[in-house]
Amino acid sequence: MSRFATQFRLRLRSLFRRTRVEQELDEELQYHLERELQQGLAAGLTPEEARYAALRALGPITQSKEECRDMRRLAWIENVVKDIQYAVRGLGHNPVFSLTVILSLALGIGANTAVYSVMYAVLFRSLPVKDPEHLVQLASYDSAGAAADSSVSYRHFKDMKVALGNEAEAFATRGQSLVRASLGGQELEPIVVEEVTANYFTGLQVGATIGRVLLPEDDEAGGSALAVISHAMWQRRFGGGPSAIGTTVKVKDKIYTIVGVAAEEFHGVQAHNQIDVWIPLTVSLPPNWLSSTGSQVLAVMARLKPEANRAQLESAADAAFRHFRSEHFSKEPSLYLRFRPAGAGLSSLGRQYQKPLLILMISVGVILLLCCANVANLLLARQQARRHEIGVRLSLGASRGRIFLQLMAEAFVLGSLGMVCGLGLAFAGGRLLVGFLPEGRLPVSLDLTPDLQVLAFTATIGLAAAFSAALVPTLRASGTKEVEGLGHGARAVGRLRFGRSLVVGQVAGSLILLVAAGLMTQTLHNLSLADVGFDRNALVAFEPSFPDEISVGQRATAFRELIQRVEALPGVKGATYTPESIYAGGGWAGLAYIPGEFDPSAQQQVALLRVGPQFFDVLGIRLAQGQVFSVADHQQTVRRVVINQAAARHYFGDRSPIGQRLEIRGDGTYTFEVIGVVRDVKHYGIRNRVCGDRVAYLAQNNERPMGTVFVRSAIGPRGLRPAVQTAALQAGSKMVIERFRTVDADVNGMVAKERLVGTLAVVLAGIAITLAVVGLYGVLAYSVGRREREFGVRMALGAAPSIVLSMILREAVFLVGVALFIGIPGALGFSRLLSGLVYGVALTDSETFVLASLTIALIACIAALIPATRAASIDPASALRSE
Amino acid sequence: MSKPTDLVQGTLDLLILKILALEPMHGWAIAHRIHQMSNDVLQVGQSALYPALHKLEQQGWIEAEWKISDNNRRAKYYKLTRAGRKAMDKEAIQWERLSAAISLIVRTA
Repeated sequence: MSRFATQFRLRLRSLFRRTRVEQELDEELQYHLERELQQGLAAGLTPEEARYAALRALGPITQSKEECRDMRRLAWIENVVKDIQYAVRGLGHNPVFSLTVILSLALGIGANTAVYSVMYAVLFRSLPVKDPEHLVQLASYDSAGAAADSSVSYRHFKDMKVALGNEAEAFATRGQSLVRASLGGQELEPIVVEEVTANYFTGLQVGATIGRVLLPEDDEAGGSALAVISHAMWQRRFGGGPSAIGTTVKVKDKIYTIVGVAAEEFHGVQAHNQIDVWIPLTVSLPPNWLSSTGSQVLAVMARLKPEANRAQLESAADAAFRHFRSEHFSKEPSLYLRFRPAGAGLSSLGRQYQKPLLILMISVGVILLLCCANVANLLLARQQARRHEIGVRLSLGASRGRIFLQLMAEAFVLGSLGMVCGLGLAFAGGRLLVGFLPEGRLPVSLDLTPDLQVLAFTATIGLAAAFSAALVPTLRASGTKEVEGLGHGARAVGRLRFGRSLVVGQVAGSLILLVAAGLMTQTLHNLSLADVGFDRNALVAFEPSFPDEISVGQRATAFRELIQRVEALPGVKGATYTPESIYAGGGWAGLAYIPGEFDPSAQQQVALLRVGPQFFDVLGIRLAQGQVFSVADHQQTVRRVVINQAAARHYFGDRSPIGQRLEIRGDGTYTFEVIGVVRDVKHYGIRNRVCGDRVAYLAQNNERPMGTVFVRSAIGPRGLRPAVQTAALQAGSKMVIERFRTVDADVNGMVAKERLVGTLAVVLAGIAITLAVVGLYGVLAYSVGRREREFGVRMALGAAPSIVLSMILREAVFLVGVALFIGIPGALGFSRLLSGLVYGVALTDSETFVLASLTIALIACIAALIPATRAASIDPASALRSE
Repeated sequence: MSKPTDLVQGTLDLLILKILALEPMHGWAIAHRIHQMSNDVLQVGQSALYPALHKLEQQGWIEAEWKISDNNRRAKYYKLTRAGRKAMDKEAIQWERLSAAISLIVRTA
């Protein structure tokens, strides 16, 4: 024990009292020298002779001092510090090289960190609550094992809560919505409200900054109209003052009293939304929703007690879940329930984007490898140029190990600087990525502040990249033979072979990304041209909105007034509206069947779309048969329906649907007369199939206009917007225009995933090709430089410049050929990941593969032309003289 | 002059430990004593001696102390520790076995 203590003390001493230890070493050796000297004098030598003999006996002092230091073991720390200082100095002498390497690494590290930080934020970041690992989501799955994530009704939730008993606290949320609200009577900008069960906070174990959170007993006896606000809202609206407590907030026509401010870091259970206000859903939901079985709007989470038997609870919840469904939804496909870890929240966005993010992660991984290859090539060239220096140091007695470590210190410095720059890039890139996430009705706000986990990721990939890039060049360099390094005509066949294989890898990698980019570009092109069944160009949409105090009647009048004023605007061809939020991921569905043929097990779902006057004209939906609604149809509640071709085929087959009857269950069951059939229209997204594409259009009574207004206009949205706003002002009733946008943008928003992957694939492929071209150029240029003499000889012996040119080009073609040979199978493998994302193009589309290969070959040849022409223009005389 | 590599690996350590077992000594005296005791056969240069001493000190087998030497100068004296004595006995036994084995081969082969 004491021995180790001694050793430890000695080591610390040699580290921290270095001067002292060094002095002692000097003194010790000096004493030795003196004794030798004395001995010599005693033996009768002259002082001169004695000194010479002593020094000779002593041997090389510096070397043995170095060995003594080594024996003190902590030498390595000193060496590391010295190596790093030396590396920084050395890199400073060669700023262009250093900058190139650092930027290359920064690019690769930055891209990876950006994608990882977004992935981490939406998928993995733990909720800021105590023991997040005990949180689960009660998630439903279909019989195929795919996540169904169906919402449940309040009654269904209660059943499961009872089944879980005391071993777990189950709580529910209706999710977040952007609503107009007023605070203490003062109108607010729209705020994000989450409707929750009152035990939401106690279940999550989130406390209050001031006041209190909602408590389980707040749900008793019909619930209390209380609200909790977020820390951010508290700061924004109350300046962090105590006056917040007791203030009332009016949400959707109900008044809630603020009882507290949630803990600062907590902003809800969805990573991508920041909640402003939480209200109890027992108050906010319509009372009949609490008792009905059909109002399935809740997501359920639970906190399990640490000692709880997880499997047992899971099967209890599953049993309750299935029992309820078998009682009330016996006709619907059977689902089962499992606990899904919810320590990171519900992460619905993350699950939706899991695959696109995975694809991006792999793509940026490829980019990082290409960057590493480039850096390795650069380092190889630098180490090559330093062979002389290394040879000298080896001859002077430096060990290969020391030289290796010293060169690796350089890699460490480069890697660290690359990391710092990469983090900067990552921050900007992460914001860019978030911009691709669909806005929907709620602003996406993601916390991308790099925390320890992201930083650890960056550090790991950064150092791994730098070291792996430096490994081979450094091993080569520290393996330099002294004589070879000192000699002049140092040949470097190995450098070329290694460089070539790097280039082959780079070209192959860029082919993989280029093929992905090609497939996704075609996908985006196809999506933008896809026939949606209506004319989506020059179509603008917006939503009129009114403050609470405006009555329903006043709203209707102002709404109609607005439509009239907009229709009268110059350049406007027509305006209409629908209460359904089509093209924005929303919709309404019901059941339709031929009267007397109701069968819940059959495919009788139909998308219901209430439309205002002129809807088909304004949107440009073509009539196939019969007629559309007349003006009179909108003036009273009529039982007439227009269906699309898919519905007509489904219900009537070859018979003519006109004049036939359909019973439709929407908000009531009525029999309708079919008056027309229109072409199929993709109201719910280009790729989404809703209700088997069957649509039934109902005439909205113009006494109650509402929802989204569509305007067909020759003027672009930018020109139209001020005119619409003026019209809204003139229409009165404090109307405000919200979400002014083009329908084309809406439709494109529904393919946000494809846009995200497609756009980034193109960018990344561009980067990859650039990196590969730089690598190829570097290797060929080096090869030309090395063979200058050979070309000189060839040309002196009569070879035409074109022969030399073709020699270099042949080398390039060979390298690219090998790269394509490797890259095509790689691209085939990678493109498989894109299944479900590509649209209108096969994953193995041969044209894309051929085109991508040709593009790469062409670009590579252009890159090769520069060194090739240089080789061809070598002056034989000067080339021969140079050596 | 015997270079350190001429000594069987670890032998110098054993010699140093043996010498220091007699009394604490400084570096030069150790080298001198080895030279004397081996009847002028073994000569240890400082380039081998001092690294070996520093290593043994680091291992905790010997301890160093600055003392005034016989010629009235400050010198670094090394002395055997308890752990060092144990290590020496072990090394000595091993050395006996090794040298006996080698002698056996040299004599009979």
